[in-house]
Amino acid sequence: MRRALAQKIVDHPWWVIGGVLIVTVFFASAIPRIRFEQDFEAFLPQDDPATIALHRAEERYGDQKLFMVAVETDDTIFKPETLKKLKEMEELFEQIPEVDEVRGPTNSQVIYGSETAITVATALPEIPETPEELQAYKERVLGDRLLRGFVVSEDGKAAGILIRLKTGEEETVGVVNSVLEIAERYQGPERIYVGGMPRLNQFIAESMRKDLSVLFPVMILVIIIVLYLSFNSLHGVALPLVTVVLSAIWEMGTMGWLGAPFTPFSFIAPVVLMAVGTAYGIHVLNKYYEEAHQGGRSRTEIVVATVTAMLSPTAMAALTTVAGFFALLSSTLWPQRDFGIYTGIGVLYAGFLALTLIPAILALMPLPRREHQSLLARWLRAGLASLAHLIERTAVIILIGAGAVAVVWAVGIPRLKIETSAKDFLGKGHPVVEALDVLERHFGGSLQTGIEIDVGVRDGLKEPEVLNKILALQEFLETLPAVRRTTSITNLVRELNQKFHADDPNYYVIPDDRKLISQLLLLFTFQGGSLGQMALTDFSAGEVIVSLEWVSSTEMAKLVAEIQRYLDEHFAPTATASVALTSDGSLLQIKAEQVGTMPIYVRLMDQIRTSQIWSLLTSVGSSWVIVSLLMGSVIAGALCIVPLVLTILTEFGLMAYLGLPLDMSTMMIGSIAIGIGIDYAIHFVERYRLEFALGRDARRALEHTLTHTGVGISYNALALTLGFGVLWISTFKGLNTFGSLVALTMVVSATSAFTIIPAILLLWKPKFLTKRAQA
Amino acid sequence: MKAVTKFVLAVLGLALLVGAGSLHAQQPLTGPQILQKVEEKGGMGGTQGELISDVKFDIIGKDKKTATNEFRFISKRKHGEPDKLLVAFVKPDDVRGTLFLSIKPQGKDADLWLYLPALGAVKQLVNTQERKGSFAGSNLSFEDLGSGFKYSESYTADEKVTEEKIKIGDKEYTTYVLTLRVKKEKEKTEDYPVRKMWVEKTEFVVLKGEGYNKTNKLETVFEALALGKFEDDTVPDKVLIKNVLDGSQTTITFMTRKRPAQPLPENLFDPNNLKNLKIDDLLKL
Repeated sequence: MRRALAQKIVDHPWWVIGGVLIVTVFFASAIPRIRFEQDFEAFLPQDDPATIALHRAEERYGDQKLFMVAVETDDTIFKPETLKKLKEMEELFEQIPEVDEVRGPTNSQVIYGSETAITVATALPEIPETPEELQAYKERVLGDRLLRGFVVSEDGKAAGILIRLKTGEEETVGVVNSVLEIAERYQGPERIYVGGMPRLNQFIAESMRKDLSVLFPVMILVIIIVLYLSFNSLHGVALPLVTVVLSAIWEMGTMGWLGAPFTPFSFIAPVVLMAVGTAYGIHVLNKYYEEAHQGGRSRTEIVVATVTAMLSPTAMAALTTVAGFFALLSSTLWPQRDFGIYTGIGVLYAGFLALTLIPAILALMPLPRREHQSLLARWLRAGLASLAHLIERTAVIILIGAGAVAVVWAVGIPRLKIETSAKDFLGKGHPVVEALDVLERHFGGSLQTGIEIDVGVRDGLKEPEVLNKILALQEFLETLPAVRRTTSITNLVRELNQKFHADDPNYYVIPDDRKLISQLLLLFTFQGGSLGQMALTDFSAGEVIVSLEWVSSTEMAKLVAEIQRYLDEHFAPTATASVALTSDGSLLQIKAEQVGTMPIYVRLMDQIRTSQIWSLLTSVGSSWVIVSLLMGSVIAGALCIVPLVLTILTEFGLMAYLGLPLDMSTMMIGSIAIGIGIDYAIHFVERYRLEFALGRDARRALEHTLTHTGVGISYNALALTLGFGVLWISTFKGLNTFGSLVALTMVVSATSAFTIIPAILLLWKPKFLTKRAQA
Repeated sequence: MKAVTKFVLAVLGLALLVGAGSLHAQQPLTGPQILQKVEEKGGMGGTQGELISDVKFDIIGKDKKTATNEFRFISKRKHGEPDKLLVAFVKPDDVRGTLFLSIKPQGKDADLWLYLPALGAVKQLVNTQERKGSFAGSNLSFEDLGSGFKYSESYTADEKVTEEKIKIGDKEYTTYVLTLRVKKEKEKTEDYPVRKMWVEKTEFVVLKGEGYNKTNKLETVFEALALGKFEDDTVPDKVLIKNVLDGSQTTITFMTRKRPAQPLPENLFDPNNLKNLKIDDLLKL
């Protein structure tokens, strides 16, 4: 069967090449269809309670994300030249078609009251020309609670221009580019930053595109170097390279046809595939050279023998790798599932092309004239032979040492942190992160979340008792360490009450009279005031907007829990105290629910934790089953898993000790390490069993295995280590860490396969070795 | 919202409260000529003389929640004198008796006063903002209600017009379809670069309107849902103003339109007298 298949490929090489080309054109045509998805909130399952709450809040109150341009000065913004810039920028932002509303220090509405009049004015209609006018403006803006800290910092050193996008335009990258272009025009001496979620998303989308254009050529260069070091020939470089490039095209084509987007976690799938897929070409070519150097056979016979011999090991290696990637299907986060599924499919393509396209091309080429043993191969053989002798003498020490190391790593694992924020994925020093820091320094935090208060009846929010309950919640929230500021309808009602009482600060309270509250709010809406997130049209519900500094996911989880405890104690559905008496004597039930980005990040953290456990269990379990089935022994399967356990412990232990968090990218490492790393163990055990079957004793079998298969494994590990190392040049800090850690796991799993498995086999002779020998 | 305001105001001002006589076309009219005839029918606040209207606003916000307000509009217009408009809030109960007074001298901005019964005080409203927002959560601004609006100040109508039939209830009306384009100098302040207007052919009543935003998307739609007669003129009795992008809408129903039986007392429009006015008395007018 295997031979017949091989013969068919060799007999019809042009058919194979032609077929591959047609399929490549088909897949390549779908690549432009791939879109970019960078919104972190979109990564959660859409039926997740946090996502549902956010979407409902967005439908009811509009976009929940902060988008702000911050202008920072060394001294003060209250200078004619800076104010002129701010005014011009506000006007230009308003001209952007997708922008709905711009609110800044010059165009904001200010309300001030006197005994006889209420004045509603634009904060700065004209640029002040005299010091008196400037001072009056400063007092006007800094004296307004609805502006101070929102559009002008408390110390007057920074100004913020809030931009609200039109419904349906929140994800438009073009708007952010227009804002950036305007901001750039006014840079210096003031420092101008564009921050908030739309900017973050635009930056991520831009970086993904940039990364892809850099990572592909660098990966190709790395593969060329590794292949040249391994084979020292043009064929040796060109054939595996063509295979992986084509498999990457097929993989992206599959994504395009199936409508899968590139996310910050899955866009590296083709790059990762190129690193992983090189192994199949290397093994096929390695075997071809081995067969060719034996001599005495025709070109056709040699290629047929190569394919026949490599079909099983390549299929086994590909299947276990695919199992590792497919284990990510157990993740509840779809970007991870996408990464797993498309890289897995790509691995199958790479294996298929290595067993069809490479033999078809080899069938058309002359046989190699000389043995292509590279300098690297000679060094490796010598080094691995020495290692074999060392293992013979120190098997027990190796196992004890490995056990001790495993314990040390395992002890550290509980310290492992989980991090979900996009800010940490980007890393410090990024322009986007710097902008967030500026918002934090001057405008009460770069993170915004919300609590929805739902009274369930029309005009419920106008009840004094309800408003006082909301005010108490705000006072509680403001005692929490990360919370900088809260805003709700209570702020507006108090402010209006004061203005209507000749600006007397004693009236900065919730009035006792519901009718007065209604009439004050009526006035506000008459004058063009938008209640926005503060209340729905029928005043049955509204949001408390919480501005807070950026905190780690762990702190965020604590914060969410603490807020929830308060809500459970004071609001429905759990608290009995959630009832308020209305003016007409009826009772109202007040519900409160956390909505917005903070619960989303916390849910993301929960999902990562669950997904990590499941994907690890799935990949270990499936690899064990596959290897056991293919080798016909559960013990053999278990033996191959042993080095992987040490690898996983090393990865997580090291991350814990170095303080590296488990995030959406690093949590994929475990499954990848198992999927790829098990190949080393399989190749090693298979060869060792073969040597044993040939009648060699344990020591000779070990030496032969290490100096032959060990060289192939080393090439493979080198290709993968350098391949994943390429991710070091990614714009994303999360992917830098991911690349480094996968590279590390490749080294650890190869080293473990070379040392732990032989040490076990030298001390213990499992039955599956003898069974094969008898067969 | 603000863009909607001007759009609606224009349409309302030119179509709703008007009682101009029939104007029959003698020869094919151009777009600018039709626009001029529409504007000649009058501005916001109604025809000349004294007018009392009871109006209901049914608002559906973009959050799909609803609100209803009822008002009594009492207006007085006389050539050479300031336009006067008193708006009394009838419903909901919490704001019943709240009064707004607008006095707009010819060619000047309107002076506004507010009386809040819960506070028992009259305050002058000084609004110096360039753009005004919504009236009672609807798409209308209070000041513009009083002061009116001229389309031709900001827009130029295309010369070429087409004709289209529009059905309202059981009756079909032939309309001119006008395309209005914003004037260069008004590009910054107007949110709709292009508007379309369906004008009934014989009486120049605007039956439908559309506003296209800067991304060339249709954003607001105005539709007359029911027409009625006032002093021999066709006037819309019910109109719908809808923001098709965010889903918010306001339905305005004119419940009554009448001339007062007796001349309106002058102190009705006196700011100093606002706190003495009783809603029940105003409703008896």
